[in-house]
Amino acid sequence: MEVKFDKQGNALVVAVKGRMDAITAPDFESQCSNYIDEGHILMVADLAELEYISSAGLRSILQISKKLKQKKGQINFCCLSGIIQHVFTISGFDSMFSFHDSVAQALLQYER
Amino acid sequence: MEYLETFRSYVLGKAEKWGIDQETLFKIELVLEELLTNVIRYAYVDGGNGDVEVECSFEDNGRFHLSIHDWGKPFDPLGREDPDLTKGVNEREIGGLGIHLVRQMADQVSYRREANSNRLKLYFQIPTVCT
Repeated sequence: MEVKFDKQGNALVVAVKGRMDAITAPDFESQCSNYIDEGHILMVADLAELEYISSAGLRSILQISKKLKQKKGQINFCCLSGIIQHVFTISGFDSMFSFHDSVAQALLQYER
Repeated sequence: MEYLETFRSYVLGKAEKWGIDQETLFKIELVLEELLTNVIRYAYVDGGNGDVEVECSFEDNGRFHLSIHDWGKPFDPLGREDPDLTKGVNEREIGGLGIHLVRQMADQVSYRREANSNRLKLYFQIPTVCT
């Protein structure tokens, strides 16, 4: 798994490539958590290149969003492929988060 | 956890050889990870090390069969309640999602406690290609 962070406007775009499983998810969580501690509380997760996610990956996303919420921040998602979107949907994540077709659209949500 | 990759490449290697489609491969991989991490985390909590056996086969009726066998403490994943999927971010509990995903992804799941062991049998229906 590869995670890239890119500050765009008032938000942080987190691009995840590869696999989010029991082995790699803790690393994703700790990297995001560090950025939150530095004050980045608006995040866009760009999952265009995410190939696989298990409950371990979903758990770390949930942990991150709980942490963001505590700090009055938020995370939204973009560019999910069909099967990844399916996993999010059957886990009930579609009702907790907002999903967009592109990074630009996801960023619009944070513009004021 | 270091053995996860060994099981994963064994099962997926077989499934790919049998020509199983990408979507079903994803489902098989997910179910395997969820169930093996459960065994690794919970089955042998008292005694440290323990065994787990994974078998797979491709049946004549177009189904992929996966069997996971461990000798740890009794655990029937089918007896667990699904997490409440309607809760918001704050209220949503962290656990329980793995087993929920297993039940959603496999077409058939059965559990049996046999002589001090847990045996889970899962079946995945392979979609037939229309020409």
